[in-house]
Amino acid sequence: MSVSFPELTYTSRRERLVRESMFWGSLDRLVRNPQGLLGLVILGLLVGAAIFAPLLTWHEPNIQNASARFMPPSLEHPFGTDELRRDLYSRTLFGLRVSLALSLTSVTIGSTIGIMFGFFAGYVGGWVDAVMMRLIDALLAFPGLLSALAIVTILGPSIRNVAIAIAFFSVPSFARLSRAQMLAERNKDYVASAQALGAGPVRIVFRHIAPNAIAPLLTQVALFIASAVSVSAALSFLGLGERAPDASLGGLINTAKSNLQKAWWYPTFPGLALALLLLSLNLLADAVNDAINPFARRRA
Amino acid sequence: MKNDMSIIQGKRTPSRRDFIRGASVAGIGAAAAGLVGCGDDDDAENGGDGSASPTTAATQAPKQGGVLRGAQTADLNMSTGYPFVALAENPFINALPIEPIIQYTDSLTPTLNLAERFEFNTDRSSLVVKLKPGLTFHNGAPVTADDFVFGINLIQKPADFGIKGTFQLSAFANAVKESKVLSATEVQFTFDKPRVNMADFFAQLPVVHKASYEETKTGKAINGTGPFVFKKWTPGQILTFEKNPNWHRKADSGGPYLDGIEVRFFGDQDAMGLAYQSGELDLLLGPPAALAAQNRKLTHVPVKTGLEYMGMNVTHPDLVDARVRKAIFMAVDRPRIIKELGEDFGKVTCQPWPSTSPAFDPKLEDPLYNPAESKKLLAQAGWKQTEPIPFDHRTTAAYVAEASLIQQNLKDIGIETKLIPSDPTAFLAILRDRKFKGLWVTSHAFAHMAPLTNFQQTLPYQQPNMSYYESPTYLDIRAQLEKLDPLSDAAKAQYKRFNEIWVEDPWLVPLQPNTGPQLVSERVRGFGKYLVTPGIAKYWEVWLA
Amino acid sequence: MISYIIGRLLQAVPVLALASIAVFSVLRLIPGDPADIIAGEDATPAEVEVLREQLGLSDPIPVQYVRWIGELARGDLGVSLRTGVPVTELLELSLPPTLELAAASYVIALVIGIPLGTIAGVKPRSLWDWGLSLFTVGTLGVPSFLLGVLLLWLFAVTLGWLPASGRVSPLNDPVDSMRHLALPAIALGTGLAAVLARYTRTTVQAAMGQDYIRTARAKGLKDYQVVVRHALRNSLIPIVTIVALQLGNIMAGAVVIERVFTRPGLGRLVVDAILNRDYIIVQSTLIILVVIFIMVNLAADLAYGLLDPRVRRR
Repeated sequence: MSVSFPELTYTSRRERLVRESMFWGSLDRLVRNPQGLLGLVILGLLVGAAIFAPLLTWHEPNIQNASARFMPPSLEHPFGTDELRRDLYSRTLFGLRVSLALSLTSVTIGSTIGIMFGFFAGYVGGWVDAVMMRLIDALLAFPGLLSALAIVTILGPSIRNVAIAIAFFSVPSFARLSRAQMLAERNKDYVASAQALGAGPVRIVFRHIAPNAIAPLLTQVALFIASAVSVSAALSFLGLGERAPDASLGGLINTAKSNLQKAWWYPTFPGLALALLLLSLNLLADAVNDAINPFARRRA
Repeated sequence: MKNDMSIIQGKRTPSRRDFIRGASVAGIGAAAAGLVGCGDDDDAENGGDGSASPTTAATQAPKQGGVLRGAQTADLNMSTGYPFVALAENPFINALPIEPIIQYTDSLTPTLNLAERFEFNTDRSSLVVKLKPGLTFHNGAPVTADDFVFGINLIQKPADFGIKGTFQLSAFANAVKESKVLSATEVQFTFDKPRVNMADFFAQLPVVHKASYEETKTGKAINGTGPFVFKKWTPGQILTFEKNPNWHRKADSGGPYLDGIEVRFFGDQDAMGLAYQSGELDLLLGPPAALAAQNRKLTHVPVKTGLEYMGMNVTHPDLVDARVRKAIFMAVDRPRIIKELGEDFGKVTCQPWPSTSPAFDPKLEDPLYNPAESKKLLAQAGWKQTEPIPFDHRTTAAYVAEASLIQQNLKDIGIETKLIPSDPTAFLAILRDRKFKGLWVTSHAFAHMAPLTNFQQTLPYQQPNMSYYESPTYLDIRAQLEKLDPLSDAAKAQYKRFNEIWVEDPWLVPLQPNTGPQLVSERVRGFGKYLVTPGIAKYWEVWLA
Repeated sequence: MISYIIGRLLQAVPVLALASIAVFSVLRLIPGDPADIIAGEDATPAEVEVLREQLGLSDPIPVQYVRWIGELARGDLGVSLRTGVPVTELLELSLPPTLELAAASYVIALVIGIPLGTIAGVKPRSLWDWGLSLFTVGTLGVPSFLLGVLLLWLFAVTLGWLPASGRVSPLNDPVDSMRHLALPAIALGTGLAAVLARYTRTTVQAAMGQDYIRTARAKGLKDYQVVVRHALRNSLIPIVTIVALQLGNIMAGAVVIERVFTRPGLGRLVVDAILNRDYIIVQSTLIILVVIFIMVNLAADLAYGLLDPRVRRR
């Protein structure tokens, strides 16, 4: 159903993409926003460092073969060595890998389940919605860290169980947020017209409502990934994080705090990696929201 | 080793030390300073002063008063048989309010404490104990033979007293066939057979007030005879003691000088270290090694009473072959553990026996670290591995570091392991249930008395044990030792046999001594002397400048 | 109005019920039989049975649940498995310190966060805005246990200005109590301040774009009056909701902060209980926490309704 308006010609393919496609348009807006750009660049660098960690490091993270413990940064060991003669540069990069993988997978799973839940409840409404929402409210009443702690204690300390715990306590928040979004969009005209045209509920939800509802959800995803990293750091502090000798950013910082006076480099570099990760996620959270919003509003 | 084991043989000959004590009790009223001087004479033989770091003040007169501020990380456990079971979470309540009837003060010769008579018969199948007259518990109740015997009954049948727990002293308690109370202060014990090392039992068994034991179970009161009185315990927060003004050895030693001791529970070791550094604590029994290293002049290291060790489950398919286990034994870099993880506070050792023990072998003080030899042994045994061996450890930082180091050592000789962390509670449950599948690290004590005592009392050496080790040689050595005087040449021959299988067919791998540095603040004086058994510091000699 | 309140109250009931079922299941979700675990390996089957009776684990689940609810209603929160101390006694010791910590942290968060967020919201993309971002990163990017240790290292050890551990009741010594509260409250409050500042910024920025701001300006109101009287007032509603929601983060933060600063409190009680497998304490404190949460959120909801008439009409 394309009508052509001679006044509205695009000067390039890029411009057409940017104006018409929600995805490319949002991306364009995101990149033009200085905070969004910064966040994207930093996150990209960190993810790249994590993915290419084996190529970027020249020592293995768990092998204890440095010439001494607590060596300050040098060319051989850019981030120094730790208490067991391991290279901190590779431990930081591999730890970043673990922390990123953990937070990305757990939040992706948790948010997907939660969003399905919330969309379903919001769309169907009625007593189904009421029951589901009471359940969600009940689960939301538990502080996240405590539920994660209980789950990890029951299942045993390991990265996999921390991921399960984080996914578990992400679900209620996403369910509630997505339901709120669904409720806001549900009664708008375009939904009624789609229904009148005979579109089924699944198509309506995913093709029409979701794009409009997505902005705050993506923001929430970014924020939750950040909080997942923090929660796993807190669990490492309580002794329930990853298994030795593997490293995670939180675990490295936790061991580092015992050696602050001996080795300033020990908390500094993993701490910087952690801070940059959280910074980029927080910047992106806001920027994504700003970037998608015009598109969402337009389609209503 | 000045070691008069005459009491074990059923005769009691007075030693110079008893004479001195007798003289002072007779009322010479020697000044406290004078008695401290007397104590110093025996320094050379003092079983407990292992480290060479004397407190700065040489012989100042002790000042009265002040509260010693201590700290520990785990909370107390008083409901599973305290005080008749020794738990690592109870360092202060094990030391301050309770006492046994005899002690090994500075050697393995018993000195009388609550008892005035402690006599075996000639074949050591029975023992007569007479308590000193006029002794009272902290609540004023008199110390009677009933109270004394109560402890033995509890260890024999804990369920009768509503207790669920395991007791290190079970084997000993079960050897007591009959306890005949002859009078308010006299008991005659008959053992199931002639027993060579029963003194070790009585040197560890505390005497508490039977009638108020229910309050002890709930943490409300501890009525012992020790130099400090248990005042209050707020779970998870604080534990307080006050000086016992009626301590029965007060005239003797002049102490206790402190008005009280206050122990706080810290959830985090680093927080504890920072509190110490900001001057809020006086005594850390288990400081982080790095903190102790920063304050070497203020540390004291008690003589070891056992080992930190790695246990091996000999039924694991990869660990059945003794050559593999010997290879593992030789693959552990003990010097590195002492130097790097222990900050050089201990001495490299491969045996649980301290130098005062009749089983001590100087050759086992060598590191015995030889990865090349290990690789040869593995080749001989046709080493092949399909899966990494599970390796259990606690989640505390020190154990994590140690397990990681050993994992690297084993990897260097070609053995892959998988570390399995457990928080302390879960770890203890697996330990108690003997469910370690492959390797694990933990520590033990009780190896400083008669070696037979170690075999009967200490968990990893008991039969059955967590390693499922049942070598016929080992069982034979145990059986033989039950009939021999611990100091005799025949016994020493058995110890030699044991030390051989210890290396050739091992089930435990020694890592380092089980005692580490204890850290005091600058205002603490008089800390650093220890009894041999019970292995506690002489808190009654501690004072604050 | 009344119907709004009643409606909200009624809705809270099933939530409470479901939450209590969830808490109840915690104890029964442990792998293995809790009675077995608690009794220990050397217990005879008879002893385990006795313990199971004691814990009430041999009755059918619904009966156990009803009995537990009855006990709660009577105020009987059970007795610690480990020490035998009644849970109510433990809560009496743990609740006040945590409330102090929470209150002090909220004060710090409000005092720093609201003004910072307001200015950033009024002047987006300005130096203030970037400053806020920097502040957010600084506090959120550093794990609270590291921040705590750094603060201790600086103020307690190196400078010696403040104590490194412990808690003093304000009833005993208000000044000393605050000295002991200062560092933990800063450690906990700055993170909260960043969150509050960011929400304030977003809502104030949105409010500033509304028509009534232009009207206020046109009326001749000075800038700060515009901001405070109009923009901020309208932003208060979502901020109130956020403040209530942050209670969860306070609890989570308290778990870590109480450990780092060795303060007694609810966070420490629950964590130690979980690690010690002291299920009775875990069960009882969780239900208390959950009830508090639900009540606080209910209050926030009601406040929301009171403050914004539009909500009530829905």
